[in-house]
Amino acid sequence: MSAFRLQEGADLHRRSGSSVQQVHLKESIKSDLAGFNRRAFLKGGLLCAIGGSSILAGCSSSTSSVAKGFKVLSADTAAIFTKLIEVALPTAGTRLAPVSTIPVLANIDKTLSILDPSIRADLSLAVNLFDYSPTLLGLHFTRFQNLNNTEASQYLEGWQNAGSIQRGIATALKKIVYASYWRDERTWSAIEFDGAVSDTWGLKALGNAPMPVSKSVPENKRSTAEAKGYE
Amino acid sequence: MNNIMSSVKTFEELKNHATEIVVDAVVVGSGAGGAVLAYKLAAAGKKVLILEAGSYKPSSTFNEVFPDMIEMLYQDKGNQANSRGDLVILQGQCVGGSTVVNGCVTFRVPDHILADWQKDFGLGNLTEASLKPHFEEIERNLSVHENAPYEININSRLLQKGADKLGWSVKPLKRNVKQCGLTGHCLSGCKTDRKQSMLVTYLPWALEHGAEIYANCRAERIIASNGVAQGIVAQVVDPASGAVLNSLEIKANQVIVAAGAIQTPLLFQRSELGNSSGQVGKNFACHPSTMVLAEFEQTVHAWRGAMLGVYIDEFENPEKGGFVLEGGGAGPMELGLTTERGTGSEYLSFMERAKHYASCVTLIHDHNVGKVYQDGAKKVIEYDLSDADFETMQKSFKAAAKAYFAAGAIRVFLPTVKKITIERVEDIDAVVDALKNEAFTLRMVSYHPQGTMRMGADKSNSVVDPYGQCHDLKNLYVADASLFPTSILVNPQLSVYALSSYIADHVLKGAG
Repeated sequence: MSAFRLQEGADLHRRSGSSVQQVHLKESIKSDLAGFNRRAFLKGGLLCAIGGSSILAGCSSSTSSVAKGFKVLSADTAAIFTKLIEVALPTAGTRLAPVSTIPVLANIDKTLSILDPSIRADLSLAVNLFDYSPTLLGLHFTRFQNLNNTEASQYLEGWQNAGSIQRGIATALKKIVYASYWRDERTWSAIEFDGAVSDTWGLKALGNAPMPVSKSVPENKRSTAEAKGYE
Repeated sequence: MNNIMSSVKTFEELKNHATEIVVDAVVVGSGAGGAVLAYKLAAAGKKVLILEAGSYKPSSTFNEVFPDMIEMLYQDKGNQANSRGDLVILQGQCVGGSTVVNGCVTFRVPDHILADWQKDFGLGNLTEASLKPHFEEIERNLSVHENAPYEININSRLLQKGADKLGWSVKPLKRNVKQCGLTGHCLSGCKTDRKQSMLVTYLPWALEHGAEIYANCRAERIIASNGVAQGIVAQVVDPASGAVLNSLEIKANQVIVAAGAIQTPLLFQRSELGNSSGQVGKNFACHPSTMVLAEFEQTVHAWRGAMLGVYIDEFENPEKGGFVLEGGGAGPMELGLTTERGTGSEYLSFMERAKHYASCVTLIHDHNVGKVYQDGAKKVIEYDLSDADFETMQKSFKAAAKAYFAAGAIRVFLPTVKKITIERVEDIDAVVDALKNEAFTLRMVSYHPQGTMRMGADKSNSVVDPYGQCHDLKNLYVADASLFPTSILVNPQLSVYALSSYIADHVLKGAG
């Protein structure tokens, strides 16, 4: 598989100057996408998060490039997610909690920080592929993170409706953004979600259920481990 | 009041623990299978040690915020998935296992499934009659009951209404819950101990009988000699860092592996034992489920009330379809993540109407087409929906849509990766038939992995015998959903409890 590594992203961007090279790179991306499937890089849960916590790690596996204030996000990856947040959660004009009041990016960083490092590293390939592909595929002259919001939204939708791996990546990216918004309790009242209720309702913990009445233990069924020196 | 569960030993106590331990029985896994079996052995006077790879989290630490609880209580923090990445496989990883985070739904093994097992796998011993006392005892002990009317919320009543209008069979679900608090937070663990999970039933009962539980203790391999299992080598692991802090060698007369249908075969594979049939880790099935949503004019608030109320069993028999539809509520995140609703303002408009959506869970009787194995340090779960199962899935979507339209739905949202909506009942067949069985077509979740340690009479094509003992090794038993020779279609916890109870009797017979 022709690896599309994080460090190679900028090189690929520079190399995408001529049309011949672009054709080559398009094929390279196709190969990468197929390779992702073969490598099963998605196995860590790209499509996870029925409930929202799990999902895509779009960050460097190395701690050396972690941006200030984050646990794992690099400045570059933070910019990708910032753009995703802008196009996925335009809350202005809705009844929903303003996205500016919710620490969505910090929540993404927190979620990614607890993932297995190998999953995070694998998934960083997907995020970078998503970011660089506008130029590599000849769709735009800039990376996803630099598109205007209209273009970025169309690009994201395009991936959502493209081949299986692309739509898997788009789905995962949206999931992590959505989940990182909705996990904040300040988003719930707008849709009348009640959140945690047991304490509010004064529900008492019942504790352990009473043990069923047991039969007496026959002598010949008793432990033999004690005779062997257990404790 | 002192809770006996506070005696559970964690990595902090075990990191300096003596490395050699001798017991009568070591049980790997504290979920449905391990807890019941451990309790029965302990109640019979045996010295029992339960090893649990996950942490001990008392219910007082549950906060009813699903993302937080996924990270705290679930295997791989909810990131366990098939190798293709389009099926999330959720399992509990904590003391009590998946019983802590399930939806409380209980079913006995359907008769037609037992008939298949008897006919195809030589399990003539597993009959309705032989299992009945085990089911009855478990149901009594776990307060299993049919949902009363107050436990059936609006979300389920809409599904019921649709089924009634179509003349389909629909029934209240049975659940293992006592004085349900109707919080709708089952999947986050029951903060007030109403769910009768292993955490508040068989595990503390086992401890009362002298059993011990070691949490954060990962079974690494099975010890065996001359065709007889003799114990387990386990590692004490710091849950935060993953660092191995200690290694324990537990010697036991009986070794019971009940780590679930993914971890159990991996333990056998690491041990290079018990696989003369070549079937260890194969035959993986998982009830891939989806959530079909429907929009109603009225408010539903699908997250309010008991999480699961009724189910449509009209199509349960494989000859009639091989699926069930369960009225299952969903919180805002599930609502927005189990279907594609566009990007940006389109998605937000959908979410603004969240209280108007009803949801149901589709469960299919899938085929055992997957396998589980270790690839270096990583586990691999290969499972792609077969074409036959995809067709069943399509049938379940059609049925759900018909039920919802019959109940007055405005539109139905399919659980697909692309945005697909059914606006009229006349469109159901055309829209659903257009779906293709490809990667990332559906948004699937599995809560019920099973089948990887097939039980059967023929040792050439099964791993354990009809009484749960490994064909290849004496005193080595399996007691979890990995035993199921076929998927059982319905929620498996009660069947695992009963089978484990059944096997416990045979372990005790063997123990003399």
